[in-house]
Amino acid sequence: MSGSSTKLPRRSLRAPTLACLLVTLCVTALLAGLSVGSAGIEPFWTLLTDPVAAQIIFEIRVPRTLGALLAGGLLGLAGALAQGLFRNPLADPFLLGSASGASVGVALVLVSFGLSPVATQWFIKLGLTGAAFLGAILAVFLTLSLARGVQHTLRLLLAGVIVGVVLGALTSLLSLTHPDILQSMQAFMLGSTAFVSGSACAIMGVVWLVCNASGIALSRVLDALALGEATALSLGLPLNQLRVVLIGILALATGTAVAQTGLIAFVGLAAPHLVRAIVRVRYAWLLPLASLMGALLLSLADLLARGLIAPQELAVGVLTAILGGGYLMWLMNHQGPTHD
Amino acid sequence: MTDSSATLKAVPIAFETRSLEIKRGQRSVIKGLNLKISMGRWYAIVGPNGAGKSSLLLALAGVLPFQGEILLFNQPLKQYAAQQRARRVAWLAQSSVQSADDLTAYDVVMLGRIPYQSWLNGQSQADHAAVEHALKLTHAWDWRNRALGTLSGGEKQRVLLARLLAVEADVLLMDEPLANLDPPHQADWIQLVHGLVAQGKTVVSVLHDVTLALYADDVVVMSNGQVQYTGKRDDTSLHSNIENVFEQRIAIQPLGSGWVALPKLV
Repeated sequence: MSGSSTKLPRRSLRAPTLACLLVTLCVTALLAGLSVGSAGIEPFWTLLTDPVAAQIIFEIRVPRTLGALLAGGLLGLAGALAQGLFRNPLADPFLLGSASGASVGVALVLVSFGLSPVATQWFIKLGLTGAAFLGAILAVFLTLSLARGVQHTLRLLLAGVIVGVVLGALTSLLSLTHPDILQSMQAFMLGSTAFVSGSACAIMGVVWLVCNASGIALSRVLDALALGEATALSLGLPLNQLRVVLIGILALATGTAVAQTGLIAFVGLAAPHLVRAIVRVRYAWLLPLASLMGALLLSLADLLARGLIAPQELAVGVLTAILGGGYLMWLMNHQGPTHD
Repeated sequence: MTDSSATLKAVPIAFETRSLEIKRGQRSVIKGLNLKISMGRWYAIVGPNGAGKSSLLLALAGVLPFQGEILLFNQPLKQYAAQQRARRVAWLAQSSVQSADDLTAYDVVMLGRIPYQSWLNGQSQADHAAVEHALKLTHAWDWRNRALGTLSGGEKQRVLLARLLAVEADVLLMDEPLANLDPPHQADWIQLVHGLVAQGKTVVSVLHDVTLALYADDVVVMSNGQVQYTGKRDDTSLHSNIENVFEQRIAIQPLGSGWVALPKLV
């Protein structure tokens, strides 16, 4: 056979190499994150000698930098899961409505208990995470029932937009009728890593490990789904049950990230795309790689948000929305309409 | 050939359907279909578009819900655990719906081993051996490390065929397996099927090319969700039944030791 029909170039970079590269870059971003702040840019080790500066680093910069990495990691993983599960390259936690669902969950908890999302106590963080998780999972099921399944790309995306808009309106309504949560909700809606605490990092870290491990364990299902739902069924996979479990992992990752950092758009969409542009791999590799890519993207965006107009800072969600929107436009112009 | 041995003794039945009914959405696509598929033979299903050929195959594969009865090796299909069924019956989709572009050919074929893998166990030596054997049978071993998305239509089809073979099932169901293959590879496929049948496997293939279908041991003619006729390839009333379901727009003519179906212009 002739090789003339080759549509896509072969990639020379292999998955383990990319993983090492991404880990190195993430560590570099972490170290840079420790050195950048409203107090200026200085290597963090020179600051450790000064007790005030050391306090800034350990109580503010460490949690927020680590938080950006972990939240990005969760969103990247959620994006890769969503794209595999729904066999749709445009599926991401936001387009499926799960992030809007998570924010309704958070708003409801704030309204009911008069809490602040910037609170650092453990039980509050866990409660908010739980509410975000439930909101996310309900929103995904709502989107799926509106779209009547996952087969029809356009219907799925439209349903996601509808659910996102309606739930977004609900969140706005809740914050308008309860002005006391308005300010805390605003930070949340913009998406920010500024208030991530040590306890939030611990929760995200544990969830990140759980979601990655369970996602990798079920990665065979995502691979088989690429051959079509019927082929996966013919191989004896109990798809209905597996789908519920995978949506659960997706909602847990999204809900946990959203509960700690608010609405940070496009990381979940862009991370798996970027990985696929570099290597072609099974989901057992794609999930952790997309997760690392998401971590890198969000921590770089966080650095930019802190550095661009220092000593002021941008909400990182605003920045990812602008960058992600640009990326999506580039994708639209370079890949043409997505096949369905 | 298998023809003579088949007539000497009663051949065990691989599949039997009784009053099979299948609905897709509101539409009834299979209406009271009765069919027996003997073990160790190659069946070709032919018929016009919308006759219910693909739906029948999906139901046999355990993928599509149905009314009535399907027996697999004399046991109701619904009584099989999914994994047990998947080890005995393998199904190959039309290649256009399979878009695992990022997976290597090897990874794709390995998916055929899912019925043998538990959640905790990884890939065994037997899995790797089956994948290698299947890829070599379809002459696709050389591209085992290439992504499916980088292969041509025919190359991809041979990888997907290897995926089917890697299941090592007793019954192989194939929907339009020749659609993307050029004539030499179509001939390869027919030889491969002869080899499988010689090993005692049962092959059921939906083929839209009537000439190629007339290479099969048995030909099942379908239209309107029912079996109109089942016959051996040299059976002249099979030929007239095929011409009927295609509204007399084809003519089946002898050629050498076989048959050829030609389109009739009006």
